[in-house]
Parts: sequence; C-alpha cells; structure tokens
Amino acid sequence: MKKRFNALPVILATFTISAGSLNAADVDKSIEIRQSYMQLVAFNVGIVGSMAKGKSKYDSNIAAEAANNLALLSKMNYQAMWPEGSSQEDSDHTRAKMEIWTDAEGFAQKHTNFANSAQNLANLADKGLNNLRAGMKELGGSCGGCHQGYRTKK
Amino acid sequence: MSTWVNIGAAAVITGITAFWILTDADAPISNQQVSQLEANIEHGEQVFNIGGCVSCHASKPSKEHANTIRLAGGKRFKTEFGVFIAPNISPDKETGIGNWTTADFANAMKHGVSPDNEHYYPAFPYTSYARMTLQDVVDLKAYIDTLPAITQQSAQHQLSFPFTIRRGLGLWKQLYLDDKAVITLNTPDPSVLRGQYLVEGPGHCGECHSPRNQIGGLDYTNWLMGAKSPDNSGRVPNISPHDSGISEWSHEDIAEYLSSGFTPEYDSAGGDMTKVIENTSKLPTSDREAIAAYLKALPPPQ
Ligand code: HEC
Ligand code: HEC
Ligand code: HEC
Repeated sequence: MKKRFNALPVILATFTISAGSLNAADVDKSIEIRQSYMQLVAFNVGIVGSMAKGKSKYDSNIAAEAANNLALLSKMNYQAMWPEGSSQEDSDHTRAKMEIWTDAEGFAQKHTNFANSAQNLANLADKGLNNLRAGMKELGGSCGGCHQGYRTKK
Repeated sequence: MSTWVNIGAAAVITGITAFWILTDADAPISNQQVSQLEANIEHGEQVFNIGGCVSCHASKPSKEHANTIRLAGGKRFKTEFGVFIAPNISPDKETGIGNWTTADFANAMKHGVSPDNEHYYPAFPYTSYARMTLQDVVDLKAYIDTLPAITQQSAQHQLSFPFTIRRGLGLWKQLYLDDKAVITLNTPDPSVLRGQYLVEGPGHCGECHSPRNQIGGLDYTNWLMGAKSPDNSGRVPNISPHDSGISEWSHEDIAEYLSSGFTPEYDSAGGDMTKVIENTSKLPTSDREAIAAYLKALPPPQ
C-alpha cells in the first residue's frame, strides 16, 4: 500500500518540461507522463472501487487514504503534461483530442469538476460504504465528463 | 386497350392499394384503455431515467438552467439517411406535447404513431419502447407533465428522398416493430426478468449495441454483440457474454459501471455511454443489479 506514493515525486520532477517548441522525444515523454498520471489516478480509484463492489472489505482508513491521494492528484498543476503539439494529430501514441488546446477553458473546467468531486470523495470516504458509493458516482461522472469531449474513442 | 395494358394497370393499382394499406398508421391504444390506469409520478421519473429521454431531447445545457430538465429538443443526429433533429417534448401546449392525451403519448411510444396518424422514424427508439408496459408509459407521461414547458418550434429533419416519405415507414415497421421479448430466458429469477425488461424495453440498450441491416432493422440474431456507431464514427462494444464481449466482467463490475462509469480497470466510460450512465446512475441499485443479472444470464453465442 505504501508503494503508491513512489510515482508521485517522479511525476512532479518531470514537471519542468516546458511547453515551448517540442521535439518528438518531448512529445512522447509528455504523453507517457500524463498517461501514467491517469493510471495513478485509476489505481487509487481501484482501491475504493473494489470496496464499493464488495471485492475487498470496506476499511475507512484505507478508503480515506486512497481518496486523499485522488484529491491530491487532482490538484496538481496539470498543464505541463499537456503541451501544445501533443494531440493525436501529432502522435500515434495518444488519444488526446485537439480540443484540449482549442477549448482550453472547457478542459480546465473539466479538471475543476474532477478536483471538486475528488475532494467530495475524500470527505465521504471514511463515512461508510453508502457514502463512499455516492462519492464514486460523482467522481466517475467527472472522469467521463472529460473523456467524452477530450479523448478519442477506442 | 390491349390486355397487357389492363393487366399492367391492375397490377399497379393493386400495388398502390397494398402499399397504402400496409403503410397506414393506426393508433391502437384508446383513451379508455389508459384512463383505467392510475399514474405514479415518482415511478414515472425512474422510467424517464432508464428511458434516457434526456440524452436526446434535452436542449443545449446553459448556465442559467443548469439544474432543470428542459426537453425543448434541437439535438442533431447524423445518420446515413440524413440528419434527424430531436423535437420539443416538453409540456408546452403550442410547440411541445402539452396538448397530447395519454393515449396519444402511448401510441407514439409503443407504436411509433403520431397524433396525426403519421409514422415516426425509428431514430426515436420506439422499436424498444414498444416493449414497455402501458402502466410505465402512463407514469412517464405524468412525470414529463411536471417538467418546465418551453416554447420552441421543433425543427424539420434534413433527410434525403425517399426517406422524406413517412408513409414508407409503414412497411419498415411491418418488418421490424415487434413488442415480443428478444431473448427466451428459462429462468424464474425476478431480477433477471426485471433486467430483461429494462434492457430490451425502456433502456433500449440494443439500439446502440446490436448491429443493423442495410435498411436500419435490428439484427436480433446478433443481439448486443456490438455494432458500428450510429454516426459511423467508431464501434459500440459487444456486451454479450462472448470472448470479444464482456464475459470477463463480473456482476459487480457491470453494476458499478452503470453506477459510476468505472470499468473493471478503473478507466471510465467514454463516448455516448457517458450519457447512458448519467441516467442509469439515478436508478435504484436493484435495477442496476437486474441489468447486470440479465447480461450475465444471456445465452453465450454459438
Ligand atoms: C480534464 C480531463 C480528464 C479528467 C478529469 C480525467 N481524464 Fe483520464 N484521460 C484524459 C485524456 C485526455 C486521456 C488521454 C491521454 C492520452 O492518451 O494522452 C485520458 C486517459 C485516461 C486513461 C488511459 C491512460 C493510458 O494509459 O493511456 C485512464 C485509465 C484514465 N484517463 C482514467 C481516468 C480516471 C479514472 C479519471 C477520474 C478519476 C480521469 N481519467 C479523469 C482526460 C481526463
Ligand atoms: C436516441 C434518441 C432518442 C431517445 C433516447 C428518445 N427520443 Fe423521442 N424522439 C427522437 C427523435 C429523433 C424523434 C423524432 C421522430 C420523428 O420525427 O419521426 C423523437 C420523437 C419523440 C416524440 C414525438 C414528438 C412529436 O412532436 O411528435 C415523443 C413524444 C418522444 N420522442 C418522446 C420520447 C420519450 C418520452 C423518450 C424517453 C423515454 C424519448 N423520446 C427518447 C429521439 C429520441
Ligand atoms: C447511445 C448509445 C448507447 C446506448 C443506448 C447504450 N450504450 Fe452501452 N455503450 C455505448 C458506447 C459507445 C460504449 C463504449 C464506451 C467507451 O468507449 O468507453 C458503451 C459501453 C458499454 C459497456 C462497456 C463495454 C466495454 O467493453 O467497455 C457496457 C457494459 C454497456 N455499454 C452497457 C449498456 C447497457 C446495459 C445499456 C442499456 C441500459 C447501454 N449500454 C446502452 C453506447 C450505448
């Protein structure tokens, strides 16, 4: 369980990538990083998710920890992970749509929704399974809300 | 006149008469039939949610009306036949359906027939709604009547000939409109049967997840086995218990997906399914579990 924090400094460290002119390696790197970021998010969702499904026993401490991780992740400055010129029109390794840059305001709003629902989950996670489930509904809506407009279909 | 011409003319006339009869739009449900049913508005809201009416009929969201359900229509659906535009179904008396009787509404939902006795296009998924109980339809109407009435003229569809002729839909409906259950399930399990009702009826899951033939009829032999998306921009996944479907998903995985949109890998649903999940997330837990139970109970394809 402790292990999940190790990836965080790595991600934070790579934030120094500047969003200036990008070469192919920079593009690939930022794509890799944001996908890892999403995986880290998904990993923490999985901890509470498995409790919501009854696959693992509900434990208010562990649930709160995972939800706090999510709240933390959602508040990270994300912009450096999404440099202009790294959409699916620029690389085959990404499903990021051009709209992330052409509608930066909308994308930022989706991120805010995510941060709000992650914080909401953090507030609810240790207050019983039903509250946890309610918080997950909202969180899930915020992920889907962004994926729908800003990520290409499979 | 030569006999050939006579025979030819007779054939044409018979053909036209047959076409006219076959394409006539009856409205079989009477006011008397529905007046015997008492409407339950609260339950109507649940029917509204599983029916996904909002996904197609809600007007563009705006900040000032963020928390109201506004069924003024306007959403455009690009298809191979042209562009359909969702009509206003808010209870406005002039431009919506505020003047409709409950029987008018039931004939639209279950038979695809308008109050003016015209056929509706199956872009309105009445091919599934046909399986709804009359009671659910009555409850649904009562709930829609409580929503804000919005004055906004419905737009004309932008279709190409011959799809502009509603009468032609009569033939199509003879072939593809059917209120029988899609799958024969030999189980007394009430949850599975409830799931069957929700999926095959109001939930209209098959309208996206099942393939269609060239003229848009659902291919029931490949029920829920995936299809190309209606706007041709990708594929809708196979959700049958098939190797290329969701045989790996547990009952809990499916129920969770319909609640929060999280997949078993904790990615989240995308595409049009996000709208569906906005609706299914509002259902009682038992209904999401019923849908999961039905999907798990489907006979695996040969
Ligand atoms: C502000 C927008 C936004 C939000 C909010 C968001 N995502 Fe994403 N997510 C994306 C985009 C865009 C991609 C595609 C990235 C790429 O391919 O470069 C993605 C990709 C992913 C991936 C695939 C990563 C990979 O390995 O390719 C997963 C898993 C994922 N997101 C999970 C989540 C979960 C879970 C949440 C909510 C808890 C969430 N996302 C919230 C925009 C978002
Ligand atoms: C997939 C999109 C879609 C969904 C979901 C949908 N509709 Fe529709 N609906 C349409 C379209 C398109 C039409 C126009 C059909 C036509 O003109 O032939 C329509 C027409 C109608 C009409 C006729 C309106 C008129 O002015 O004649 C009614 C009533 C209606 N829908 C009610 C509903 C209700 C209630 C629900 C939810 C249970 C619903 N619809 C769900 C797309 C949809
Ligand atoms: C408007 C079209 C539409 C309707 C209606 C619809 N779906 Fe979907 N469904 C989709 C699309 C598109 C996806 C793929 C989502 C994605 O790309 O993440 C999907 C994905 C799914 C998945 C996940 C499959 C996978 O392999 O990821 C399940 C389960 C599912 N739908 C069940 C249902 C059920 C149950 C209903 C009825 C209550 C339903 N769907 C109604 C379009 C639809």
